[in-house]
Amino acid sequence: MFNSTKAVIIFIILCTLLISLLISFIAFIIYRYQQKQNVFFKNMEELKASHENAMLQSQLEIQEQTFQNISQEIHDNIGQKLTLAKLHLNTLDMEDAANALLQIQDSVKMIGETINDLSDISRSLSSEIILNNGFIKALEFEVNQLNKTRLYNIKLSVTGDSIFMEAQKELLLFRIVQEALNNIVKHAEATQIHIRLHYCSSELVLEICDNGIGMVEGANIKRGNGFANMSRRANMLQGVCHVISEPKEGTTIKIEIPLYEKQQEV
Amino acid sequence: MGKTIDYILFDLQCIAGLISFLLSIRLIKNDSIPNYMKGFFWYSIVCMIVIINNFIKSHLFDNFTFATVINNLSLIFHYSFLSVFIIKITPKREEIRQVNFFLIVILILIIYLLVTHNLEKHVYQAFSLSGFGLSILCLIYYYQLFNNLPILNLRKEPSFWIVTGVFFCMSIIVPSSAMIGYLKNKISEFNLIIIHDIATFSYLVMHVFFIKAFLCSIQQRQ
Repeated sequence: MFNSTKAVIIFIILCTLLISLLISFIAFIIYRYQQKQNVFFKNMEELKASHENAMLQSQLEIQEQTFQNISQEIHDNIGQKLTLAKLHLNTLDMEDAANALLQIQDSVKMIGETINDLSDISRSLSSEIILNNGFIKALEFEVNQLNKTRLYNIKLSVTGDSIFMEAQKELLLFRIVQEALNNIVKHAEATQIHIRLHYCSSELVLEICDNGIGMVEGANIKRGNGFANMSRRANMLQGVCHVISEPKEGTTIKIEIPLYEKQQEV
Repeated sequence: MGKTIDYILFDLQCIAGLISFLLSIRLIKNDSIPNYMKGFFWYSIVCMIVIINNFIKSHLFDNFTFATVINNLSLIFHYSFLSVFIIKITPKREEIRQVNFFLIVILILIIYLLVTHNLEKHVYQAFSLSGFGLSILCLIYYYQLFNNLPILNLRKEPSFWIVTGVFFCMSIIVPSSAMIGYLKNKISEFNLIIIHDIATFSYLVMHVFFIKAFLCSIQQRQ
């Protein structure tokens, strides 16, 4: 009987210890979890700040690039047309009425074209078209603009169920396409361009293919900055950018962007 | 004296169970509470039935052996419900699929023990075994909790308090049930009641944790 009573006392002491241990265990779990949570939120804050920083930097770069484009467009196209129009008007010979009329008509036509060009540039560089009409409409506009030059046969195909993303995301994606098209115009010597947009259940796959000269090792460095920009912007959208190219076999730029936010693992 | 403590603890357990049941009724009508808390309403009903059953035995008919039969049989429901419930609320439960096999084996063993023993007496081995299975599951829950994104506010998370209550109770039930089974014929009724009191106390604490979980749900809803 004594042994049994002793066993019960030991058991009760053990149970009391167990209860104390369990209370400590709960306190410990809450404390450790909160510690982990604090680290997690701190990391998230840092990640958010760095993302915002990268976004800001990218916006500044886009702005800088936009200024360069405007400057180039004014110099190469609008400036030329206006100069020519001015030349026509300066050399008007009022005595030769028929020729003067022709020169005036040419000047009016050139000024009209210049106004249209200015309007196109304005629309192409403004983010309003994306904010108001979405990414696909903006792409269609861009494709039409390039088609107007008659230098390229450019196609746009959209498959899957398209969805609207955040305006900031769509703008960034649009700038990637603009950068890719800019690269093609400047370096690729292509005649055919195909832009494919495929909306999968969880991601958007964007492919820009051309039939240009493709890339050799050296050209890679020459065009490197543009690709680096595209890649960085794709990363900012939590996506990836692949460049597939062979000399004389054109280039394909493939961008995969998740349609929904990925959870950040810490 | 032991008998008095036993009655006090049992009455407190009944009150805690009743409060928990009433809170679950209050929550069942709300769409904004987590779905698992709605499922917990059915568990509260069964707990209430078992408590009423034990109350009848304890205060009205001391020789009400049917109460023990119900207690033993309800163990299958308690174990099955809590196992499924904890698996459902465990973060990334797809990672712990192999645990299902372990839980099913324990369930089969519990059923085997209940079938092979006299149901008119408490089958302590079965209680101990179910406690063991649920304790392991609770530990897995904690493990998964720490291995996933720490986005929960544990102090206001109903699932955490339920699991903690179950873990607290089961960790005590495992040794106490095992030892009652072993010491039953070797010690006096007084000492047996004390061990039984500890088990009752652990059930009381579990119901208090359930109340806390329901209160957290109400706070979340507000």
